This record gives sequence, C-alpha cells and structure tokens, in this order.
Amino acid sequence: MNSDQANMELFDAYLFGEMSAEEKSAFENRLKGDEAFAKEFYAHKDFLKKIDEGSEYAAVRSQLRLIHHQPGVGENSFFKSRSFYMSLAAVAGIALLVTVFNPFIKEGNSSVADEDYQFLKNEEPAAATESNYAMDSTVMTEPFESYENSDEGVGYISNQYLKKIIEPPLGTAFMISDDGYFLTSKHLTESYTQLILQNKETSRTFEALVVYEDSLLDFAILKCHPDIADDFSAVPYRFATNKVDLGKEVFTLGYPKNDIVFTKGSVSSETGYKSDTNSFEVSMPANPGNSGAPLFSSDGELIGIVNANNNRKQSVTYVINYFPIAVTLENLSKTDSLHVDLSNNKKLKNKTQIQLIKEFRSYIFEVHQH
Amino acid sequence: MHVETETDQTIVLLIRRRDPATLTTIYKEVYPMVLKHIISNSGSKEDAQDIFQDAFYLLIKKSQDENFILTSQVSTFLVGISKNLWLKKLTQKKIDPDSYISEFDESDDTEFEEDAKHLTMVRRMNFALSSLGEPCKSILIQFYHMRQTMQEIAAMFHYTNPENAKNQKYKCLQRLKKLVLKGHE
Repeated sequence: MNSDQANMELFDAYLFGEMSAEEKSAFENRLKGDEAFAKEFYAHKDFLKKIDEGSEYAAVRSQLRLIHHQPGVGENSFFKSRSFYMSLAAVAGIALLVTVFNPFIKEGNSSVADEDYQFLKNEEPAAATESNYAMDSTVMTEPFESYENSDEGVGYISNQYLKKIIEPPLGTAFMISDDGYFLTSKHLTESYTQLILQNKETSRTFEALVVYEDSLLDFAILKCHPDIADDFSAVPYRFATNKVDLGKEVFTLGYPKNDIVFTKGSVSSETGYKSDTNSFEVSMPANPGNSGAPLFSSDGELIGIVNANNNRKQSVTYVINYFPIAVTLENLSKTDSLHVDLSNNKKLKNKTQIQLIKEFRSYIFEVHQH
Repeated sequence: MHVETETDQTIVLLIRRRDPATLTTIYKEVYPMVLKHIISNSGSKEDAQDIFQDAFYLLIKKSQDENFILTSQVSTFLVGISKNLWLKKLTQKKIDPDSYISEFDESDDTEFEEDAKHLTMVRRMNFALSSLGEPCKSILIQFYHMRQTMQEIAAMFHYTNPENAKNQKYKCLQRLKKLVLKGHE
C-alpha cells in the first residue's frame, strides 16, 4: 500500500465513523498540525461530496426517465410511432436465414467475468449480413407503417425488423406482471434502450423499453406499451417466497433457438459461481439464448433467472436467485415509480408439468435487438 | 391530486422525499409547457427532456435544504429554471440569443449561476462514473453514496476479503479522479 492509499484509508475511516475515540482525536490533532495533510484531507472530502452528488443526480435522472416513459406523461412518441404487432403469417412467408455464430462470447465488463463463466447470450447478427441486406435498396425504402396511421391501432413491422427477428434471438425474457413488465438478463440489454420481444406461438411481436438495469444481480426490467399489455391475462406462475432447496426439481423454458425449448434439472448447489450467494447452481444443460429465461420449480414457482454456464464443467448452469430480485422490485415500487403487481394467488396445485408448460409458454419471449 | 392545490410546505416535503405520485403529477403538468417553449426556440424534444429533467433535479436538490421556501408555484419555478437553462445552452451553442423570444429571468442571477455550475459538476461526475465501467462504478457508488461497509461490498463483488476490496476501491477512485479532470460530456 503506498502512502497516498494509506492516507485515503485514514480519511475514509474518519469520515465513515470507523475510528475509535483515540484514533479520532489523534487524527484531528494531525489535521491541526500538518498543513499538507489537512489540505489533502479536505480535497478528498470535497471529491467524495461530488461523487455523492453525482450519484444522486444519476438516481434522480433515472427516476425521471421512468416517469417520462409512463403512459400519458412524456411525449410517448416511442410507443405511438413505432409500436407494432406482427402476425405469424408474415414470418412464415420468409425463408429462415441460418446464421453461424460463435456460441461462447467473451464478456469483458462484468464483475464475475472469469474465463469459465459464460453468459448464455447469442451474438448479435454479424455486420456483414447487415450490409448485404442494405444493398437491396427496394427493401430498405419500404414504407414503415406507424402505429398511429394504421387501422385499429395495429401497425406493421418493417422489413428491417423482419430481418432481425429471424436471426437467432439474443436470449429470453418473461412477463412478470400483466401491466407489461418483463424480466431478462442485464447482459442482454446493456447496449440497448429498446428491444423487440417475440412469441411466435401467440403471434406477438412488439417493442419493449429497457427501464431498469441491475449490474449486481444481472437483471433488467423491460416495459411494453400498455395497449399490448392489456391483451394479457394475469401471469400464471407463482413467485417464490422461500430460498431454493438443494435437490429441488426445476425446469426452464427458453430460446436457445428460434423455438421455445424445455430443459429440466435439479438444484445442485445453493450458491453460484465462486460461492456467490445471489445465485445458485443447477445441474441442467443450457445453451446461448437461455440467458434471461425463467427457472421454475416443478410445482410452478418462479425461482430464478438463467444466467450463465460453466464451460469447464458439464451441465452446470448458474441461475440468479429470484429472491434478491423480488426485494429490488419491491424497493423500486416504493421509490422509483415502477408499479409491478406481483400478486401471488395463483392456484397451481395438482397440475402436471405439461399443463404448467402449456399455461406458461405464452408469457415467455425471444429477445431480439432493435 | 392537483399540484397547485397542495400547500407549499406539503409539496416541498413530498418533492424532497421524491414521492413517485407527486413527481409524476408535476412532470405531467409542467413538462408540456417546457416542451412547447424549447420546441419554439430552436430545440428538439430531446433537448426539452434533458433541460426539464435537469431543472427538476435542481428543484429536488433545493427542496432538501431545510431553509428552502417555495416562493412561487412549482410550475412557475420549474418553467423559470428550464428557460434559463435553455437560454444558457443556446448561448453556449452560439445561436443568436437575440432571436430568442423570451426574456432572461434575471430575478436571481447569482443563484442561477451557482445552480448552473452545480449542474455542470454533477453531469460531469455522472458521465465520469458511467465511463468508469463495472465493477468500479458500483463499488464507488455503494461505498460513498449508498454508505455500504467494505465488508458488505467485498461480499457483493465476490472479493475474498475486505482488504482486496479496499485496494480495488482505491484504484477505482484514482481512475475516477483522472476521468473527472479531463472530463467533458
């Protein structure tokens, strides 16, 4: 430790009340006697105040941004001009493009970015295919019919979007409340402000806004237009209220390919990568595209979000625990103008897994880049 | 709730607490006025949103001062600050301020200059924190703003002991200082 660092530790200990009474008076005496030391201290204190105020500013701006995007508050141009539905028929008419992609992408910006820890994200479509596409000028100039101008409030998706949604999905997202909130992984959303969600089974494709990102728990909250949310009935799954049990049978529904895929396994450890307590380990195969998928217990409770696997271990999948996420959601509902209804009164007793899957699958979506 | 029917002091308390319903009501009522003003003075929707939210931040910040008394209606206050902030931005962009249709509100010139200076500082800090990346950004915010202990932070970020976390915190702080020094938005 160099002397600068030693001084800084001393300053922080003094400012954050970690000193004993003797240490404190010794420190204060030194402040009086040592002019250079005092100068350094006040500069440090001043800088910390700036960090505090800068963080406060960021928090206020993010709260105001959420408010701005509430229906009827800001200009709402995002939803009015660009929201759309799309029918399955439109997709079916287009030959599927097969893109070869690298299943394991290095993620450099996470606090847990070790070599064996691999997010289950699909790569964004390569730039080369984008530019091939751009050469076809007739396609590029196809008019985009907006939400506002079209009949019955149903807009059509542009060809640019069509191209994107037949790419393999980035990952998975799922609905958590019937007012239009979805959960997914933060490492999927971090370079976007809007994403496209698609569920082919119910022929729905629409835009969703990234309204909240949490780096620690690697989850993000997406929100779609209230008109779209109106079409959904209450979310069928229950939300876990207990911690996960070792050995519990679990399953997930996600999009490692362009169709929904069921995978099951069991909880193999109550902690995650490097004994992280916010996540746990499931012995279950998972593939790129599974990121952001909900993990359910066999009796239909949402217990986590599929996050990553370990490329040095067979069938080890890391899942972020739903519990700390629920706490964050609750806090956000209190302070941050985010009203997520997490009522927990669904009756799922005595339903078979197949019945559960039938009920759940229409609430689980492919995530595509915008 | 209608903003202007609340008594001044109640509203100041609600704003200080950042009460979601209050902030939403104010936003809904006042933002259109600011939007209209900025659009008709060579600005965009994005400018309006940015300026208005900065003005709103200043209102929240002022409300945290025990001695703060709201001398006018919230809407008047917010529109006034927004107009001044926009005029300042136009001047910086060197768009002819003479073509600007509204009078500069000179009622409290020095206070506004201080507000503007403060905004420049927090925006620069916010930008520097964002450019810092993870885990540095979260470590610094958790310690210096959320007031978590180093033990809690070490656990959160999977450091084997608080000493390692402290070393990391020091490095992050040094990097942040450099970023702020050369900082532009």
